[in-house]
Amino acid sequence: MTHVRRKVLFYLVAAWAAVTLNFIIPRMMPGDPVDILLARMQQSGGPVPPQARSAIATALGQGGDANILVQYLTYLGNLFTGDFGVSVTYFPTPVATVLGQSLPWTVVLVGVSTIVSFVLGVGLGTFAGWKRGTWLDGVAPLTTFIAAIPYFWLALVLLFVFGSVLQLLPLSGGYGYSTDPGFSLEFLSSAFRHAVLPGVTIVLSSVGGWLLGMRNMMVSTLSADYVLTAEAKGLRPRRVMLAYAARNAVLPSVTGFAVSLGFVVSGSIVTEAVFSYPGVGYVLLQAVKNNDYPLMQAIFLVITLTVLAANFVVDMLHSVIDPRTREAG
Amino acid sequence: MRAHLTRRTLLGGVGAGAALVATGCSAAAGRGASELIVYTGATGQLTNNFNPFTPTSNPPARGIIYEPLMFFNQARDDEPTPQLAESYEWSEEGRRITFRLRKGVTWSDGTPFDSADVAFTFELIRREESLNTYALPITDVRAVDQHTVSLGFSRPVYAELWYVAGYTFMVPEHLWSKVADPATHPNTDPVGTGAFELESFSPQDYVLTRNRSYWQEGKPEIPAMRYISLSGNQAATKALLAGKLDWTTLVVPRIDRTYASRRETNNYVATPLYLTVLIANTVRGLTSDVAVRKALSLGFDREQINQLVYNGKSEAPSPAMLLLPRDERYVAPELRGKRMRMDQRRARRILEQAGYQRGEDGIFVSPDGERLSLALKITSGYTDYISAANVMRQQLEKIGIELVPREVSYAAFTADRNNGEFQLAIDNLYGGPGPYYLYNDFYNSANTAPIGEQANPNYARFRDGTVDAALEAIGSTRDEEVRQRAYARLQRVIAEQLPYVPILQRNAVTQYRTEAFTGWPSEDDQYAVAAAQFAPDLGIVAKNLKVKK
Repeated sequence: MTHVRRKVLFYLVAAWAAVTLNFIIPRMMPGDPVDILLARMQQSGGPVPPQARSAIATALGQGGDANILVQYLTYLGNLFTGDFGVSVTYFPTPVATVLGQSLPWTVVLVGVSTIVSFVLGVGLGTFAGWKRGTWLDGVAPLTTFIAAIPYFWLALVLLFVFGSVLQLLPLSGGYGYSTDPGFSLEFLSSAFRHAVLPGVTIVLSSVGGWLLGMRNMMVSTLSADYVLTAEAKGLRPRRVMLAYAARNAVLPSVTGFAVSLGFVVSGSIVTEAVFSYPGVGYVLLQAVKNNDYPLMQAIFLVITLTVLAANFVVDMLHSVIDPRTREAG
Repeated sequence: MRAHLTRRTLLGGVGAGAALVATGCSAAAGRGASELIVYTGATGQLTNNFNPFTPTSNPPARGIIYEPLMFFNQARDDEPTPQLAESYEWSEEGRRITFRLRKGVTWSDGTPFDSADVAFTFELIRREESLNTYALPITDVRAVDQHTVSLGFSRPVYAELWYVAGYTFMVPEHLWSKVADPATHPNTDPVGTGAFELESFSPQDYVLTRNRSYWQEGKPEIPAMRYISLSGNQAATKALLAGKLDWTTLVVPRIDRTYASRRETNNYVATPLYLTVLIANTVRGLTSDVAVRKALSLGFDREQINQLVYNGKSEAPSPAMLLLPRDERYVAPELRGKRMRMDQRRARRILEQAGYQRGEDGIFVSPDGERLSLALKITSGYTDYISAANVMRQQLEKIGIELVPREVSYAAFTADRNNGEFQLAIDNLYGGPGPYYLYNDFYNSANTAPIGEQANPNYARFRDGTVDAALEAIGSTRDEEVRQRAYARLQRVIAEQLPYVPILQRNAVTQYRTEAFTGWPSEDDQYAVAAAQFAPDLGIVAKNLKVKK
C-alpha cells in the first residue's frame, strides 16, 4: 500500500500549500472592505462622517491590528473548527451560512449537468467509435460546433428563445418568487423549471468534448491486438465493445471527468451570472467586488479542496480500473 | 411563462404564515390593491438581517420597521419633522438635548414604547464603540420621566443633531437587552415601532405588511410591500419596463422614451442628491497650482456632458458646492444665482497669466517646464464617468490641457483616492440635510492626511485656515446670522480654490408606478427623498402612499 500512502502524503502537502495561498492572495488585493461599506452607507442615505470609518472597522472585527503570523495561525485553527468568520458583504451573517445557502444550488445544478454531460458524451462516443465510418461520424463535428459557441452567448440565445420569445421557461433566479424553499412539491418543481435552461446550456457546451475524446480513443483502441483477439475468440460484439474497447478507452475521460468534477464549484460563475442563479459563483463575484476576505477564503478553500479530493478519488479509481498504475506506482 | 397574479391570504398576527394560492415564476405583479413591489438594488441571495445598527441590513430596517426620533429631509429645506419624538430642546450651549417623546406608541408586539427604550438605545451606543458609528460624545443618558429623555454630551453637538435624532433607530429594551452582541445580531424577527412589519423572508424576496396599530392615524394605507432581489441593473430595467416593479431607483437610458411615455402610470421624480466632481490633488503635481484647477473648471462644457451622458437630468453645479434649489438661502450673496459655466478663453488667459506657455503640440507647459498633462483615475466599468471623461478630454485639449483617463478597479480606486496617489479622480460628494456636512467632511483640514496615509474623507488634501474657522463657527452656534456669514466666508474660499472641481449636480432618478398606489414625492412636493433604498426616507414615503380608489 505504499502507493496509497505516498498519494495521501502528496495530497496533504498540496492541501497545505493551497490553504496557505488562500490566506496570502486575497491580502495582496488593493482596497479595504470598510471603504466599500462606507460607500454603501452613503448611497443609502446614511451620514458618513469621518468618525464612521473606525466604528465600522471595529464592528467588522478589524479594530486590533493583529500581526500577520497571528492571523495566519488563527486562520489555520479556524479551518479545523469550520469557523470561517463573518462575511463583510453580508455582515453580520457568518460565512458558513452564506456558503450553506449557495453551495447546494451550485452542487446540484453543475454537478448533475456535469454528470449528465459526461455520461451522455462518453456513451455516445463509445457508440460512435464502435460504429466508425457510418453516418454517426457526423455527430462529433456537430457537437464540437455547439461547444465552440462562446458559453455566455449560447446561454443568452437560449434565454432569448425559451425565456423571452416562447416564455416556456423562467428567465432568472433559482426558484419562483413567493415559493418558500423547502421540500415541498411546489418548491422542487419551481427549482427544477429554473434549473432546466442553465443545466441544458452546461450540457450542450460540454458534451462535445467528451464525445470527441471518447470516440477517438475508441477508434484507436479498437485497432489494438487484444480487441482483435477478443473478436477472434468469438465474443459477443457487445462484450467486446464495453469490456475490452470501452474500458480501456475511457481512462483519459475519467481523468478529465475528475478535473471537471473538481471545477463544479468554481466553473459556474458565468452560468450563474447569466441566469442569476443563487449559487457559489455569484457569491464569489460579490465577495471579490467587496474585498470580502473571509468569504473569498472560504470559497477558494472549498474549490481547492474539491479539486484535490476529486483528483485523489480519480487517482484511486484509476488504480482500480487500470491495474498497471498500481504496479508502476 | 407569464407571471400569474399572486394573492396572499393574510392571516392576522405576527409570524402567521401566508397561504399561497397561486404562484408566478418572476416578479409577480400583484395588481389591484394587494402589494407594492420594490427593488432596492439588492442582488443575489438576500440575507435575513434587520439589525438597524449594521450598514448591511435590509433597507426597510432603517425607517420602515425601526424609526428615528425626528425626520430630516434631504430633498428640501425643511425643519426636522417629529417622528417618535414630538419636540426637542437644547441646553448647556449645545451640550444637552432633551427629547419629548410621542405618547401612545407601541412596539409591534404590543409592548408600549417609552423613554426607557430611547434611553436604552442611546446607552447601547454610548457603551459600545462599534455601535457608535458617528462617535457621538455621549456622557450621560437619562430617562427623566416616562416620555422625556435627556442626553448629555462632552462638547456642543448642534451640527450632529442629524446623527442623534435623524439617524439613530430606536430598538425595544425588552428584547434587545437580552441580545449578547448587538453589533452582529442578525435580528431576523424584528419588532419595531414602524408602519410595516416583516411578514415573511426568503433569500429571493421578503414581504412587509401593514402595522395596524401604527401611531399615525390612518397610516399606512397600502397593505403590503414585497422587496425582491434581481441579478442587477439590466434585469431590473427589464422588470421595470415590463411593468413588474412599482418602486425603484435605476439609471434608465432615455427614460422619457423607454419608460415614462409608455404608460400614463409610469412616472419618475428626480431628487438633487450629490455632486459629481474631479477631486484634485492639492498637494502634489500640477494640480496643486490653483491656476490649473481654475482652467480645468472653465475648460469643459457641463451641459454637453449632461445631455450626452445623463439624459439632461442633471444640472450645472453652484460654485458654492451645495445642492440647489434646496440650499438656496445658504449661498453667499456674490455667488447667488451663479452656476458653473465654460469659458475657454478665460481658462487660457488664466494659464498664461500664471506663466504657462503653449508647447509645440499645443499643450501648455508650466513655468518649471512640465507638460500640462493630467492623469484622471476612474473606476472601471462606471460607464457614465468614462463617457464624461471623454467629453472633457476632447474639450480640454482645445485649451491646451491634456487629460489622460485611466480606469482602475474599484478597490484600487478607493485605495489610491484615500492615500493621495492620484492627480485627478472622478467621484461623488455626498452631504446631508443642509450644506454643512459636505463642507465639513471634504474641506475640513482635520479630515485629511499626508500623502501615503488615509485621508478621511478630505481626499483633495485641502487645508485652509479660513475654512476651518468657518466650519468651527457653524458647528458651535445656532445663530442663523452667524452661520450665514460663516458659510459665505467658506464659500468664497472654496469657489476660488476649487480643490474639488464640480462637474454636475446629480439627481437620483426614482421610478414609480401610479397604477395602484399614489401619493409619491414629486418635483413640486419633495416631502422625502424618493429613492427606494434611501433611509429613513423610504419609511416616510411608504407610510404616505395611498391606495388608488
